[in-house]
Amino acid sequence: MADLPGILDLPPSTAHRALMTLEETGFAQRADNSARFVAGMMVHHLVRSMVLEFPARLPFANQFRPIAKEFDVAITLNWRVGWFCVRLFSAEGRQEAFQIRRLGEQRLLHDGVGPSTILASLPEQERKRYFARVETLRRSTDAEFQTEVIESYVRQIQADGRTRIISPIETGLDWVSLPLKGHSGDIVASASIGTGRQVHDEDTSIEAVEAVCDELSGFQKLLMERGADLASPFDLCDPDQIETSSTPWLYPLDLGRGPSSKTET
Amino acid sequence: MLETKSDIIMLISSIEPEKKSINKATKRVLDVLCAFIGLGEPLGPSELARRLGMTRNMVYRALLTLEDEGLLFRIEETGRYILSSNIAQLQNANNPSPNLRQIASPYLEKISEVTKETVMLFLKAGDFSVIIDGREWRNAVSLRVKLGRVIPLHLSVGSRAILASLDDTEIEGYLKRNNPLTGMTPDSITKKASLWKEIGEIRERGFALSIGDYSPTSGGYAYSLPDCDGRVHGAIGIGGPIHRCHDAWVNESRALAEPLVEELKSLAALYGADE
Repeated sequence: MADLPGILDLPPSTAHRALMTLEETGFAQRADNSARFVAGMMVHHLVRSMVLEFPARLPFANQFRPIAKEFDVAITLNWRVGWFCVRLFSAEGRQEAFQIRRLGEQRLLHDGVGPSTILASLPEQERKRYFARVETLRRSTDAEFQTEVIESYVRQIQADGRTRIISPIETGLDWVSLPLKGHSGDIVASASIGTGRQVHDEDTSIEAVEAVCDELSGFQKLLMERGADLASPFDLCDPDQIETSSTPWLYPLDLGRGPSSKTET
Repeated sequence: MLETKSDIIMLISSIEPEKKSINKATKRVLDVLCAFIGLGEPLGPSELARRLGMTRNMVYRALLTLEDEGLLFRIEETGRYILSSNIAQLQNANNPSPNLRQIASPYLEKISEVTKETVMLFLKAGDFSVIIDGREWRNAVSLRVKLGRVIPLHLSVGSRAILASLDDTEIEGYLKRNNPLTGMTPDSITKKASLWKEIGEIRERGFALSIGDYSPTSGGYAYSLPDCDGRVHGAIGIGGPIHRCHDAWVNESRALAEPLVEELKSLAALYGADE
């Protein structure tokens, strides 16, 4: 409560009344009965409602949830929204300890294996446009570092149709990520498959990944065939049209979160 | 009569506007935003105005504010709005999503208050349901909430509400794994044919009913709680001592509980059962 007037440059009484309104309407709730607040239930309901706006989510979930269990792998689906992507699905196989992958999480296209796979699959001009756009919002100058990593992914995709990241830690997941095209032929999403060295030896891991990739080919065919049924309203929009212009705080760029800094998908 | 999901959500978010702590203008904007919960399709200003009982002008100003703040996205071709993916920035990615118990908690209170009976929340766990929460009503004689109780899916009202919401292949699988079916009372359903008949009735009625077949001294009714992918989280059940559980009580109680149950169902259906 005490932090808000300074952050928002509001008189304390105004900030207090606004916060009380948010609390009463379920948009904010007290954290552990303290004077600090976190997002309330309504925020969670809204994020979930946003995720359900993407028609491709349900057929993907129905197809890949049992597959994740069968092969004991993690599978995630990230859908492009302009210069961002949103995680629409995450299944964890039978394993219990996992990096938490929040549904509805929105990230820039260079942030994580799944988003980076989308970025690396875009036409070169569009990638340049992305880096120029991100550059204008940046607070430091890591641009060259980021583009080098993405260019390595571009080469992987040109050679193999997929990106591959080995986890820097023994207990992490290794990821293979594939771009997915919409009915227009444009890249609209990526699906990522995570295998753990604690669970799979190399041969089993390769076998599991290839089996899931086969299933993904089937899903890719579905996306092409079912056309507008499975498209999101954002698919045909220009990325600059989607990005918010009035609230730069909405996505403060954390420049430490480049694709090689961790194996987030 | 609640007709649409957004009617339901408006019921959830409606609070007395006379509360001094409430900024009315802010609340109007938040009401417009909440109208998109669970909808899954675009909405235009006229539809919103009709559903929210606001003037078109008020709604339009709220939509412009929400669009400008990046929380709604306007589809050029149709002029209608959907939730923007920027909504995700309002949540802290490190905080977990609410679980069924957290989502249902306020509804357990409200349903118990309006029905003046005990309410229980059942979670599906394999071939069983588990009672994970509940509210006992303050009668001298009320149903007790036995937290942690594990019940096979063919016994008790909450379990059967869950069982009936599964597809027939899953139910056949359950019957195969749990043959022969065990009972708790002489009235328990232990024959396959009788269970299938009961499942048909539950599906037609929309709720499960149990009078003395799990416990000889209690009865009640229950509704399944589906998730976002057509699976089931669990069920919510309302019950009391058997001497109160006659048809008239069931009908009167259901009339009071059902609007709240429908709200809870709408919210539970935003989340996945395995989260």
